[in-house]
Amino acid sequence: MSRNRVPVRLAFALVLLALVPALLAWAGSPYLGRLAQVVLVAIVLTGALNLLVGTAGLLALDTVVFYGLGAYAAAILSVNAGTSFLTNVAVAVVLTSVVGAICGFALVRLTSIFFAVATMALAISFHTTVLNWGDLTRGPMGYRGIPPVSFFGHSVSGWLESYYVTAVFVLLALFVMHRVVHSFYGNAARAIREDEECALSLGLRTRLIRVQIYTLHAAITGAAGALYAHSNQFIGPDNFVIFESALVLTGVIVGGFGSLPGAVIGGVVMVLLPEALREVGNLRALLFGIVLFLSILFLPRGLFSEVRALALFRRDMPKSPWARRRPPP
Amino acid sequence: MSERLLQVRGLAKHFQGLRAVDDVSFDVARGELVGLIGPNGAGKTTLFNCVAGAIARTSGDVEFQGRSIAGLDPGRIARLGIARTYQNLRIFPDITVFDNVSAGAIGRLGISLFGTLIPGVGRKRDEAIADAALAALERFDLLSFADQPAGNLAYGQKKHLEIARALALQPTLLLLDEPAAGLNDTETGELASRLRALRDAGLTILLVEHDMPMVMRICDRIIVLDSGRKIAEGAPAAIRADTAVRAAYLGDEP
Amino acid sequence: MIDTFVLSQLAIGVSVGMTYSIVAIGLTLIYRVLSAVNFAHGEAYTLGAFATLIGATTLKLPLWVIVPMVLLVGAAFGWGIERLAFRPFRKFTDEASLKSRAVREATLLSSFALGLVVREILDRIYHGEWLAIPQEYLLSTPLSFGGIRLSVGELAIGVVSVVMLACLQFMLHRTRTGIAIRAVSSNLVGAQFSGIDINRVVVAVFIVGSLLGAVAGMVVSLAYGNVQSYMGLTVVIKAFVAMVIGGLTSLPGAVVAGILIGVAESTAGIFLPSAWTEMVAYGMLLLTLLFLPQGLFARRRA
Repeated sequence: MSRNRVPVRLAFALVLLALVPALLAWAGSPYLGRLAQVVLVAIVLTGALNLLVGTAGLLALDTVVFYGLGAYAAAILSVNAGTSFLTNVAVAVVLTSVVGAICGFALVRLTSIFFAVATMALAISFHTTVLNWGDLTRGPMGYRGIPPVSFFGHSVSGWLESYYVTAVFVLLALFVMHRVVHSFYGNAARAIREDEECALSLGLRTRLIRVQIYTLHAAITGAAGALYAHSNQFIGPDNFVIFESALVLTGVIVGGFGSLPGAVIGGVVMVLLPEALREVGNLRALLFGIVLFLSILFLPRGLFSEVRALALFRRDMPKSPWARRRPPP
Repeated sequence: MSERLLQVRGLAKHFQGLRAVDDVSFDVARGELVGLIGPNGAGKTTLFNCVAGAIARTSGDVEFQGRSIAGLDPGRIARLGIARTYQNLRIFPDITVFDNVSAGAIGRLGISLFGTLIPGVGRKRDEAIADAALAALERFDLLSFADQPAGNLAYGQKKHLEIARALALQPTLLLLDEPAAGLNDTETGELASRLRALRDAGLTILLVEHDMPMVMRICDRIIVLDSGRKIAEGAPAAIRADTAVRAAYLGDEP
Repeated sequence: MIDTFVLSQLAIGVSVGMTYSIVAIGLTLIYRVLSAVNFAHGEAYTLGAFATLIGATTLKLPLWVIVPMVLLVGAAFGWGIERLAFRPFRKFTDEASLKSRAVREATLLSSFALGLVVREILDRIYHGEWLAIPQEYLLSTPLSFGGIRLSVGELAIGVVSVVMLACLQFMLHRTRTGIAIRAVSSNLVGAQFSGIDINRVVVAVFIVGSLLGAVAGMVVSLAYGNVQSYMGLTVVIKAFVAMVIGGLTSLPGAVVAGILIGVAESTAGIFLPSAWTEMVAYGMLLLTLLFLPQGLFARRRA
């Protein structure tokens, strides 16, 4: 075990902030620049869902609800009230946190499959509401003219700047997720996932932790939604159909339940795979169904299992109490 | 007179006409190692479940350290200082041995999302959790297995892991449900001495068991249940000679 | 005097509700045996409708030939789904393994995935359009019972549903397979000890449920005249709601709940634009899950 080993987190940050932009600049294609951003957002969504589905063990399809809430909040505020990008993100986070806390509190006591179906019902209801509440959301036409991302007066322009904004956001989000998953808090969540009754008998506050994770998942997803609204400058109900939730869920499954590296891989795969097979026609949904089915059947632990991920980060974080193996001499 | 740590008064649990536990009363004093025995179906595990809050009692009261815990949820009861193990061995097989035990430590010390998100804030608590977990592992000779998935351990080690995890809670009262089930003689002997050592260190233990020799050897006092009722209580020698107990187990008429 | 329009709407609501009931029964049967949800169940309904379409347009078969064809398609689909989405996850047939959380979640997802695949294939082939059943097959003749307006088709849905329920009752109580199904549903261990083959019962349950679904799809397509690849999805979600409201394991509960949903939808349709009536079922689901976890007709657990 080499002392000179670069920690995974640092390596990943370097790849994201240096290697990828360099490659994109060399390729010189704005299309690829956009694609990279889509991949980055997918990573955040998959990671956030993984907190809920993987670490906490609550199968859920509500990604689009909070993604949409964040996006529409940002859109409506910025177009009607002229608020700045950062304000909108903050509002999106607060809104989705509050809604998430309420929904989480109401739903976490349901057993696994009913929780999943309840989130599905939420997602479909959200989409129907967005589609039909034209006065607020401009309905099927979608929200146009959302101002671009801007910081302290400077508007982001060009794919490179846009990429960096997204990349920094992703790194922040992943940092938050990393602290939750690779810690004693993550431990507690995993124990509750494995056997809730037993975890309760050990004194763990099962309901509280589950609601907290649900809220965190909602908040991160909401922030991603706000970012998406501003970087795309247009959002419509079609972006928030239940299929998108299912796509993110598949990313979690393919990557590996409970594994943060797995979620990253899953997010990348779920965006790049349909792109790579574009010539085959609009088979996105069909492909997704097949991938989901095959993953569950043959790779139930995903491409990068939780066990491997936890072991990896334990090695990577030798000074953390969570990773400590021996009592001090 | 030793402090009465646990007081069970007239505890009853009925399941649709079946009186699984029927008007049972007893005390457990601090520092005692009490055995709870009885034929299969006598209601021992149900009694445990009632005391630990896993199921709701039908009537009666349970007092712990002078306050009533009947009707509290299992999480509250655990945080008040009662830890338990399960008859059918419930560990978390897919996570590591260390993580299993630290779950118990987290239960006692608590964990906060805020403290986790901000680097540095939860450090002290994390250290305490790690220390408690490692100490518990060391006590049961499981340190070398710390990073293995708990499912990989041998059955006897898993049993010990479950107890180690319960101990990470630093409980005042430990409820063990058939800790020797499935263990061979050597393992049972090890378990017996460990339990003795824990008792000597000040832990109060209430133990359901079928392994008579072990119970007779290590328990200070024995309570006997049959068909939901308490039929005898006393020192091991007295219980061994008790005719009612004999009848319950062997079907002899006194 | 209640407005006859309202009564007509109620009658239609009952009729539509019975569709949900029939599909819900298939879901409930499976849930009773496996404690698992089959999210591909809606596709049995869709395939029944498509079989009717193909029989009418491409093959130009008479109705009395289409009916057995639909039954065959439904049975084959049920068998196929069980084999592909459920069987591979069933390694042991003892109760704990059969109904473990991992298996239930895995089959939820795998059936969801396969249902999606079937829908998408149909979508690719038929380009997502609503396809019409030829005029001569349709049951669209309007009827009037003292002012209550109903089409033959809508009445037929109700009648066929009642007939199917009666057949189901007969099957469950008078045939060996049916009795085996009831035995496994109520006492798995006991049934195993009696020598009942759990795997065969599971297959039977899927076949029966899918048969019912396919027939429902057939009758609905004949009543309303069109067919689309996603029609089963909306129905199965409402059928799922019916199953939950009905108490999860109660067949009469699922039937009553299905009718309730249908009536609630058509009542809401009087006041709200049709887009919002979709939410009625989801609203009912969320309310039930939050406040009545046992549903309306919960079985008393021993």
